[in-house]
Amino acid sequence: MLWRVPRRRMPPSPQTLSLLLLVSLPGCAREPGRKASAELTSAVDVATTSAPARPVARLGQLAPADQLTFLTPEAHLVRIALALRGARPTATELAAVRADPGALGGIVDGYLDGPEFGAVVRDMWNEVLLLRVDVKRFMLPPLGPLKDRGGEAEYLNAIPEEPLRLIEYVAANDRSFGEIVTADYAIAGELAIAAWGATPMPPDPGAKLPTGWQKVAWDSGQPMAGILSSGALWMRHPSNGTNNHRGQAELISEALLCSGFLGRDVPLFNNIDLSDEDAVKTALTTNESCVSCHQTLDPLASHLFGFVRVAPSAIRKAYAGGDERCDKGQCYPLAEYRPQVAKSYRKKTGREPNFFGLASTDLRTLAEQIAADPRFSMCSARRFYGYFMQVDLDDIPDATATALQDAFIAGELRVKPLVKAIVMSDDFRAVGAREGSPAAALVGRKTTRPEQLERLIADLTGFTWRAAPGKPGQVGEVSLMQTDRYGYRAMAGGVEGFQVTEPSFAYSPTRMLVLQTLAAEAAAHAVEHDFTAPPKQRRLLSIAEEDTAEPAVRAQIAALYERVLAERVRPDGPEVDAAHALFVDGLTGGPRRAWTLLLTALLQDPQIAFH
Amino acid sequence: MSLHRRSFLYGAAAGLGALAVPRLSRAADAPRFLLIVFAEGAWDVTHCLDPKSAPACDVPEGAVTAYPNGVRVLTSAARPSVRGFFDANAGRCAVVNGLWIGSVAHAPARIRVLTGTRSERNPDIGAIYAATAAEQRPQLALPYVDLGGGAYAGPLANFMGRVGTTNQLVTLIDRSKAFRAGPRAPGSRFAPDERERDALNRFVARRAEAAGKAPGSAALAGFQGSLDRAEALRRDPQLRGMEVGRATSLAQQGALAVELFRGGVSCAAFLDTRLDWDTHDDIADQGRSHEQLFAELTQISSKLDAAGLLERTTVAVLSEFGRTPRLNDQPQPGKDHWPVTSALLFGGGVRPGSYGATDDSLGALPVRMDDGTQADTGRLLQFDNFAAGLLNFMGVSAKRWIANVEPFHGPFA
Repeated sequence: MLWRVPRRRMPPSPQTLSLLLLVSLPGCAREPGRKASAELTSAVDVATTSAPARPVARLGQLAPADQLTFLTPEAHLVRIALALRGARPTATELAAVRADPGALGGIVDGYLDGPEFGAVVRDMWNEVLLLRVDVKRFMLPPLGPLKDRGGEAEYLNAIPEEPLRLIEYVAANDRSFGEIVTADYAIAGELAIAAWGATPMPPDPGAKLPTGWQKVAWDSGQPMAGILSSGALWMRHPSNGTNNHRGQAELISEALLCSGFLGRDVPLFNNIDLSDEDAVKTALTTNESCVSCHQTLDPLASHLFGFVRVAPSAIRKAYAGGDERCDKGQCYPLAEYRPQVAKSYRKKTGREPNFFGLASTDLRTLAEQIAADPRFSMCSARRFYGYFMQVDLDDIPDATATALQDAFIAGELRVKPLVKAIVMSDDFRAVGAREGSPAAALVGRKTTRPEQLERLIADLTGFTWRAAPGKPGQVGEVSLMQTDRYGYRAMAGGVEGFQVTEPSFAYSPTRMLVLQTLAAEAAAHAVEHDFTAPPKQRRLLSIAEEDTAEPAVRAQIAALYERVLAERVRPDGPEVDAAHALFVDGLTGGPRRAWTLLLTALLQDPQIAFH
Repeated sequence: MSLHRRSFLYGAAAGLGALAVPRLSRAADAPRFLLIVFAEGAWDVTHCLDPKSAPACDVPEGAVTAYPNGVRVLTSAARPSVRGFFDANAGRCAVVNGLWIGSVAHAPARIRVLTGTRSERNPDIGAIYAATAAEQRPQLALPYVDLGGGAYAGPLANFMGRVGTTNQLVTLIDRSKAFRAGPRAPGSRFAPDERERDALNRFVARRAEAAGKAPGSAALAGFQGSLDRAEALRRDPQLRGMEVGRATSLAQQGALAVELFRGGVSCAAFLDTRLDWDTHDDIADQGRSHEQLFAELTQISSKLDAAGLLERTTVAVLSEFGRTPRLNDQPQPGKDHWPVTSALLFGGGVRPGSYGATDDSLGALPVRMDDGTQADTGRLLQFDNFAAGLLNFMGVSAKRWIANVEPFHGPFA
């Protein structure tokens, strides 16, 4: 389903209204509030939604169009649906785009407003913040109010997700993305509230909030500053007591500004004893090599001294030791922030809070500085592009990054317009580039991530791959595609968050085994369901189980191709010939087994593995 | 174990040659193996590999044991396994000290020492070696096996497979060992028989082959290659025999790696010590961890020897960086991060002795890259020099992945 465009760029659809916004400014780091140069196109081509469509910014291209091969509009829709929903487009959506490619914009708007997009935003930011880690040292022990609450499975759905839920909330409700750090609220579930202690806040009128999550303020006394105030974030990225919150400052700088310190080498300091606190303190303010990083790193870290690590082992001891330790905030709800030590940087590093040379006093002012920093808008825009394009941030050309930032600013730092611009762009639509083209390393097939695969298979078959390992009630029922202690996330190319912190887009033998096994389980589930469910409740198979007449089977296979692979094939075409042969192979075990075999094959097809 | 004859028909070896990997410079008829043992968290090298003394360093009790070939390590009655290991293996051991990592943060340092680069998107030493070896030995079902978790394959993922933190790979290849389903998703099991599996694989391989002809489908080559390898893994008796549900110890990982080497499944393996080395708050843990590490290394060495593989296997024991020379002032003193570390190598072809150098307070000193001796006119031995040297030693040109770096030749005869 490829569409090679002619050398001359196609004229815009007559139904498309182009609005050229404002002037172009040179440079790459710009003020977030300034006017941007993004060319906005207001899509008046809504096909499936009645609400006015969001304008879509044009990002330019990685290479001239004649160097690129593009997906057809239908295939483009299939790619977008997987990226934004983890699902296939509906038949109606496909028909609409087939009839009029201009319908795509309205459909994308619908996807962006759906709950699945919120989950995608969380997936993406988990890869940045590395929160979903099922490693015991980063998990709160199931004691006190956390005991008997569904085991690890429920824990993982609640605690590490808390900062991600705030990011989702900001994105889903079209708030300025800076609110992920400036928000004076958090989004927490019951378990997080039990763990950290929080007071409910009135909900925002009209705001979307998933069931079981609510707007709260933390009780520990930290200034409320979005994810920066999150106990869950700092439990996952603790300060070890001797690095003076520098690791946390690095996380802030790298995740939110794409300006980390860790890529740089530490200087050769044979003559500095790092275990001598005074010697280190002196070196950090006098040794030129040290100063080059620490004059900005340490003042950033000074904002975080109020956060005190309550280690899982301390919590266990506290529950074993009784009231005295619990009084110190080591039982739930934890006192993860202690205002009385918030200024202990004075003794430790001697550096007052500061944001890269700009005045700052506490988490609130830090948050405001971050949100106003042009690096924040640039970094966030690049992160969204990199995620959907599956390219490394460093590989994004400057011109593209600038255009992304412009689009983000033009959209008032709202995520949905930015993501719409990305997925509607020629970059995202391109499936290949001529050899030697600057786009060659950046475009191509996208690999379906473990989280996407889980959603896609669930959407098609109704099957979610879960297991309940260990003693009953201890682990609970965990998702096998989203965990690593028992599941297959890293084995399937995902981020495990501790040792594996970058996704893999290449196929490995173990990734293949995960795909094959998931396909087989899901196929068995779907076939069993469909052959026992009333006709209207069937998902994939409309054929009667006993009907093995070739014409009916071929028609059913063609329908499966369309639904499962988003591929339109003729019942008498070569694809169905091959699939029918496989079906016949399986018939020795009966029709149900034959359909299971065939569906297993389709669910591990390259069209599932890639998009 | 040998590959099933149908394997590699599906993909026609499309995945194997798809990535340009450097050719092995050694004869293909003498297969070699690489075992990487990683001490996650950062070890204190004064506990063994780089003995120091007070007052420049706070050191554990013990005495320096010097072996005739130049290996000098700290041993102690409190850590008998350390002494035991070197008594048995010093003749095939090399210690590299003064290895400059240039970072004191775990993740970046780990990436540096394993890949010889600064990016996790690059393959590590094991992956590069395995991919190269697999060109000569395409029958390897899983050239690089990650038994410890945390190996980096980058674009060479096609050659690497993860076993999982609790060996859950076995639940994929033997569904009778799968974790039980829960009430919310009871599921239905379908395990194709061999004939069905063969038909399935052929069908998917044909689809992949057709899809691979479309523009922008380079990734399909890896998909096809993985199809073959997945099938081979499914049939491997060692992997099928794994116990699921608990993390394996280093010795258990080592035993499995030896079996996979012997069975012709893999030629490189990544193991994790499963010990806590990040001892900011209790230095005594280093002593315990060293004792445990060397006890398990002794078992691995014995397994390799018993399998007749010790002379053809290079074992590289690494940690992301070292720990400060002096104790910190925590209530229970520990040591913090230090950008210099050591490496232990043993096994086939390693030139025994001590290489590289540090001063009294664990500062890295310049060395000659050709023989590893300290020299004022030498250079700082960095993580990339070391990685390139090890790869060259394994018969792989490192240039493709670690550019513009002088390989370190010291222990690599």
